Amino acid sequence: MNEIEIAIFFLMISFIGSLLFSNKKKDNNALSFFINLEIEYIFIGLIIFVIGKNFSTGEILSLKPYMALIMSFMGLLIGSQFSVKLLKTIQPKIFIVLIIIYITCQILIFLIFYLLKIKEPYLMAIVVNTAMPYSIQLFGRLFKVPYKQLFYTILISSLYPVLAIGHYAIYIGYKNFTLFNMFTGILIALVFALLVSTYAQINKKQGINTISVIMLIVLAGLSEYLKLSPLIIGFLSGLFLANFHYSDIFINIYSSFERFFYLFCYIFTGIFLFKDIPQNSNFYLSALLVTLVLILLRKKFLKYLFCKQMATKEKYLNIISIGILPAVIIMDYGVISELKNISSFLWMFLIIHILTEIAGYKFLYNEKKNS
Amino acid sequence: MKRRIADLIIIFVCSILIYNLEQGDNTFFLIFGAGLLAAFSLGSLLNEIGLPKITSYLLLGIIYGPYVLNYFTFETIEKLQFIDGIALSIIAFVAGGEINFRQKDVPLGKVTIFVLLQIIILFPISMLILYFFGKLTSFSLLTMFIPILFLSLINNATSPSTTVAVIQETGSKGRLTDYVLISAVLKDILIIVLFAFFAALLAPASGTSLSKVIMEEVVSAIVGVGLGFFVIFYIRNIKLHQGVFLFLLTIIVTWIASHIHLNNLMIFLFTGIIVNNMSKLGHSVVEIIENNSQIIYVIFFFVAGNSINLNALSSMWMIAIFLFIARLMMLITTCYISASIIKENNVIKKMSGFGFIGQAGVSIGFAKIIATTFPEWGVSFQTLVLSVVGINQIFGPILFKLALKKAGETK
Repeated sequence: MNEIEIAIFFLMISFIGSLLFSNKKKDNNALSFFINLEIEYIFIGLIIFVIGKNFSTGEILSLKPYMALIMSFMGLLIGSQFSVKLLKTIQPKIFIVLIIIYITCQILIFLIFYLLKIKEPYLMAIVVNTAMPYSIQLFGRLFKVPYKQLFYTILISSLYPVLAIGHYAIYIGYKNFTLFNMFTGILIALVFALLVSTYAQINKKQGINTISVIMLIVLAGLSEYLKLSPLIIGFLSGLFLANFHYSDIFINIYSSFERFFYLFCYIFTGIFLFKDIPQNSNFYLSALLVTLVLILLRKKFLKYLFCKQMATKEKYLNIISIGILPAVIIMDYGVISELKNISSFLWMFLIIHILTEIAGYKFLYNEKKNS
Repeated sequence: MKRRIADLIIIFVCSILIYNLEQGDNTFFLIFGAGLLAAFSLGSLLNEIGLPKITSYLLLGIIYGPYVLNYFTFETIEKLQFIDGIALSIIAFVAGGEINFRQKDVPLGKVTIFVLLQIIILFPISMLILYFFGKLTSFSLLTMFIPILFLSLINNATSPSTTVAVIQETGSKGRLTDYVLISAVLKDILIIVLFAFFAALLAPASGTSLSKVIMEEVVSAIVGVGLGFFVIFYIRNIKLHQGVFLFLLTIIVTWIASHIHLNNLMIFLFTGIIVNNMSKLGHSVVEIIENNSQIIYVIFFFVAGNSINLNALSSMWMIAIFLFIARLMMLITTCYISASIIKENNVIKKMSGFGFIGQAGVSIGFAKIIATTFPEWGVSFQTLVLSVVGINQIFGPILFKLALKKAGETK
């Protein structure tokens, strides 16, 4: 790969990106909402892909270690949000609603993919059956909706990733199961969390900053060397870490890098997206149907179920958006399968991501307008 | 106690791990991460007995490097060069960002005279000492004019990255700290200009590469200035994601600079100076980088340790030790005289010399150029410089830390 050309393009694009940032005003309109989703970073990846294709002498596989690093980070970040102490404060009825929604979505999405003969339907269903609270928070910020009114929506969409990644971990574990993999993975995560929490007790803040970055490199390196999923190892480490003392210092440090790594997820999506463009009409039909299912289940059914269980009337109840998490899971799957055939997964993610963001925004906007 | 035990266990486990791993693409991050973890732990451990952390990172780098245990082979070091380059760029940015023309406590004009005096005094003294040493020992390299001249010039060179690292680690603040830091940066810029001048003057006709040196340094400085204004434009008009922006910019510019043979140290020194002095918001930008800089020091000095050429040191260690002691004495004396002339206080007179002992990139770069430009004696010259730089880089941070402590400027 001719790095100099890539570097120049990178600089150009980041400069254009910076100018775009300047237009990312926090107005309460659709344009502002969609620009702030930062999907445009896919185009940086796309340009890197085009340059790589035309001038390339190297392998795109060289990106794998860096992807492993980002996946470990994302897993760590998501896992560290779930401490048992915190989970205990949530009403059990919310978990019941969440699990019912998750399982129903999973079954219906799987059926759509299976009947329309989409490749690896079960894994694809796991991938798109995710949620993240970013767009709902963004809407709240732009349209100045009080946090209290969005609380349950944010709570449910924040809990959703634990089910999605947990399910993905079980799937990958089942597919590549060996006792060695399972125990090594858990052991690495446990030792990581123990080390990090010990360092947090005995070091100064600057030292903690440093060790958190070093440990992330070690974690990514270990998962790559042992051919384990960096996302799952990171996620397990985060889960353990969230339940140890002093871990909040680390979680705060990792959280400060969150947006930075999200941008890279979009860039990587762009790099791999155009390796293969699906030509099959069933593919696009399935994307539309899945979006429909998500709207029905994660808006209408969720509202009905939630109001029935909790005996309340929540106006803004809507977890239609799937967020960036599917891209993270796909990349992780790519890392452990030597980056084979991930572009069709990414296309599916991108189409559903855009459609669900539009639908989610539309519902929220109407609800806000009618309030 | 708990921390010491934890550090020892980590060093032991990491060493065993790296020893048992085969070098390859799928082990690169693991080996690198384990090396950094061990270096960080050794830094914490030896810091308790007063050793600067960067010296520990260097020492472990040497031990793990290709000349001792060979845990980090030449190929691995080659792969780390780009990360090392980014680290150097960030350190240079911080060093440049520490220079404040508007600072009233330490006037820049006075520091500039201090630096000029040091060079003017040290340069001829060094030439004389080296000449007599050459005569006495019949060491052939030091009986010739050109090697003596270049070695005397290199004796003036210092390492802003080491200076910044020690200041950051000790949290030092005060007159001595400011004097040494600003002087180190100014000295390096002046020495680069002087080196380019002498090299162009004395190089054989075929040595056209030397005119390139001047061009490269001038272009690097101009690029640095331009980049500084670009950063200011960004922080004034765009503002968002400043950390991400700076990080990406550093990677990209370092990448481009390495391909078109520009000096990233020079580029980012000037970027830092412009950002800090041409904008009121500049210091906040430098602070963003400073707050996350410790990991950069671990990487930079650990990799620097990997690259210290022990073969060179073992082949002429006696001469290298003499040169180290002679340079140390000369630095202390010239700093004392220069500070006396500009009527500085006793702390600057007695202690500032200890701030300029560390040597790194610039000196090594000069030695490489000399080796290729003067093939008949350049290679042994390079070996000598590399061995002296090795000693200076190990003892420089220790002595500077002690000086800062004695001046009462450490946290």
